Amino acid sequence: MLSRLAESSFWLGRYLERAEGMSRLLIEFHQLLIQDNRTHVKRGSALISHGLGLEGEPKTARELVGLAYGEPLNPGTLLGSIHSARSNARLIRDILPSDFYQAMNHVSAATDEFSLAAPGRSLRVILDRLAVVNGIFEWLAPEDESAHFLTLGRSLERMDLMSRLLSLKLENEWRDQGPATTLRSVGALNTYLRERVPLTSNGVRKFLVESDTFPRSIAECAKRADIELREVATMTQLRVDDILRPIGMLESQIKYLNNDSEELERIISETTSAVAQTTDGIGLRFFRPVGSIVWSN
Amino acid sequence: MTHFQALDEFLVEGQPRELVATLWQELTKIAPPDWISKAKQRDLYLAMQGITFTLSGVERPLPVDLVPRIIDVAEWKHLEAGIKQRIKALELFLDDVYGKQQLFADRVVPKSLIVTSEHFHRSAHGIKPANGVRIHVSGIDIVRDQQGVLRVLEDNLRSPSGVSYVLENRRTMAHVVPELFNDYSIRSVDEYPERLLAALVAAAPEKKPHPNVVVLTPGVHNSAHFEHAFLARRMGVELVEGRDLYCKNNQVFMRTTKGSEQVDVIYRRIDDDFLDPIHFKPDSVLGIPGIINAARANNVSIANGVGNGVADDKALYPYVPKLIEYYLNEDPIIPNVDTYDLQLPDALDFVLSNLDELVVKPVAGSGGYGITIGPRASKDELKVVAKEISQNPRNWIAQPLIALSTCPTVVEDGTIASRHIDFRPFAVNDGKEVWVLPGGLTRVALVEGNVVVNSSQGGGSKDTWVLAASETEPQSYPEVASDALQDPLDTEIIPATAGPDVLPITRMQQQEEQQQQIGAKDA
Repeated sequence: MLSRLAESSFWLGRYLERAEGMSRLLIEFHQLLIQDNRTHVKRGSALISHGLGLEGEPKTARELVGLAYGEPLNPGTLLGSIHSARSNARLIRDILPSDFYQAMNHVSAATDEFSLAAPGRSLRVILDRLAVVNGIFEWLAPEDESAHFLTLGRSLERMDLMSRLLSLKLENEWRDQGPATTLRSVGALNTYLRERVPLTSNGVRKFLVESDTFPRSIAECAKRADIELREVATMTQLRVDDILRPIGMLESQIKYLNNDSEELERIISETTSAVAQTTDGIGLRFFRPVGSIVWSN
Repeated sequence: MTHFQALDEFLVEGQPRELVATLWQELTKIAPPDWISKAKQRDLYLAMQGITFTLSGVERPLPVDLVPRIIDVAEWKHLEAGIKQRIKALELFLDDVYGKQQLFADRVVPKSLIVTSEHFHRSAHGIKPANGVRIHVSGIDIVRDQQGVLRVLEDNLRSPSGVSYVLENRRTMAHVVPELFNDYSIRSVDEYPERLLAALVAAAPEKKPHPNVVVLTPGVHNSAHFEHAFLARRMGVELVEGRDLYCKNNQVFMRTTKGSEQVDVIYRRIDDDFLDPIHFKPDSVLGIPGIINAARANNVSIANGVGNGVADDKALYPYVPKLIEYYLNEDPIIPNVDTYDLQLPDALDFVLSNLDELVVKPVAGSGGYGITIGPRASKDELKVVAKEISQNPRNWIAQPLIALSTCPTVVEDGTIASRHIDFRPFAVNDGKEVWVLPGGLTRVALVEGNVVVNSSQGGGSKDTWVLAASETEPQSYPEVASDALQDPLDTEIIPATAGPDVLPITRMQQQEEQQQQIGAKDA
């Protein structure tokens, strides 16, 4: 397929996932901070906005959500990722099921109705509509290269979001609610509880890194990214071993992880850079960036 | 109903108390039509989340009023201490009643009162719970009288329900009216399921690393089924019905796809009468034959304990302050509502001649059924009650009418009006400590002037905010992530990566220009 379409598929996957992840995160952060308006809220909002890489100094739950909701041109924010997802979807709408694009527009429409007065409600609407987009993709999109690139992008983004979330160390700041909030903000609370493990900070961190039952754990996403990248390699008959290296290393570190919490923290912080390296590698190999043209005498 | 004035939790002569001043400001900013639309959002949210209770076979949301109730730090400390004290005394009482029965020898409570209680089960005599706990979960109903004194209205030690609404109400409020939270720091209610699970695990007969805990429900038609499912889900344990379990060799098993699995702790939400057809109702299809014997053999723990009802019997209620003195040698921290024990002849005479000013309750009743409120009842109604009381005084208690305190509440037309409330805090006993959930279910009578707040009588609920003391208050959870010493704020964060601009401005402009030129040429 066209490199440009492949690239848009990849980034569509990443932005869709980012939008979904951010919405879920913000719903839970808002719930957490709102009950806590005097004691932790300043430090808590600062911590979260710093962890999400946002610029600004939110002092309340609402300000934090406002900041993270952000603006269309900042793809690190929720609105920005929805906007970017839609722009990418628009570029490849010819190869997408028409229902997909329509559902994508419903997501954009939900942002028009976004209100900071009751952010939980607005975020829930966005989340629900994103679920429709993802559902349509699962059911209708042909299993072609584009789909593999999209899933690849999604898996990498999930790893990235997970490592950012865990770097926040919510449970240090909120010892009572931290572990549950961390799990909820990736939709993992019930899966975790069913494993019958006590709800402790270390238990939660380990679970979100290495679980093979929870589809968003770093281990599962790395496995998925690995599979998708190999699929793409088969389809394009290009080599990917070198691109796979950072992810593969991460996978084996997780696989042989014992109860070593230092090692666990190292894996969490290395995930972000592994994702960045892989993204660069994929870009160079498959998307064939065109350097800007320089006239010389 | 006008001869005395109920106390309002928020307002004194129309002016807000200091505690609620900020909240009151926010509340009054919202106009009636906005309240109506917020109420619609709330109903939709509750319906979509499936947060319901079943009343006469119909599933409906438990209406949560959008005005919260606030309890300050000092008052909460008082309540917490009082509840702990009461539970400790009642645990000792149950242990005594189903054990040595020293209290009868010491003439603290007449033996006849206990053995005539329909909740006194001989079959529970001699069952010694593994960690000594019988009241794993309790809900002690508290009211505030017209002088502002908090009083215990009744004890619920069998399977008090409502805690799921406490947790869901908080989430609903944050969802629908986040603006109200401004400037309050509220203690979280979210750790309840963890605490409950810890208490159930601690109650397991043997020390196993992962005892098998289940929640036993009568089934989907039970009014509190949502709560049973909620608790099982939030504890990560199996929700079972009686037919999923069976007893063999005095052990309890559940039927699973992998075969039989032994069950160690049963948090049962079905009544004693239905629990074991061998000992209780022989025609019960909800229970498990043999479960009592399994508990007696100490192969399974049943929470709450079998026969607890004898301690929350309304006829025992007047004796609870005495029990606190007898077992703990302390004065009761939270007083009772004055209650007439109708088995004493003087009290019976007094009550019969003053029925029109008293409230009479059947001792076996719950859910607000069968209560007669003297000042509201017709002469004929009073006659019927008087006859029933004199025939069987053991079945009744009488109390002076208490003007339950009121709290501003959003009513149907979107205005805020005062409605009567009570309060049910929940406590969990793990054998080492009685933990009181910082919050609780404030129930509100949505009908004007009504003082019966039970949800089965059309009552609603309120989110209850227990204020956090201060920044320095120690938190209960000891564990900290391994590298807590490094402040996450000091770590370097790689900014979120972004794909290439899908259409840089210049290229977009060029594309547009091209189209225009082509268009011009065609024209």
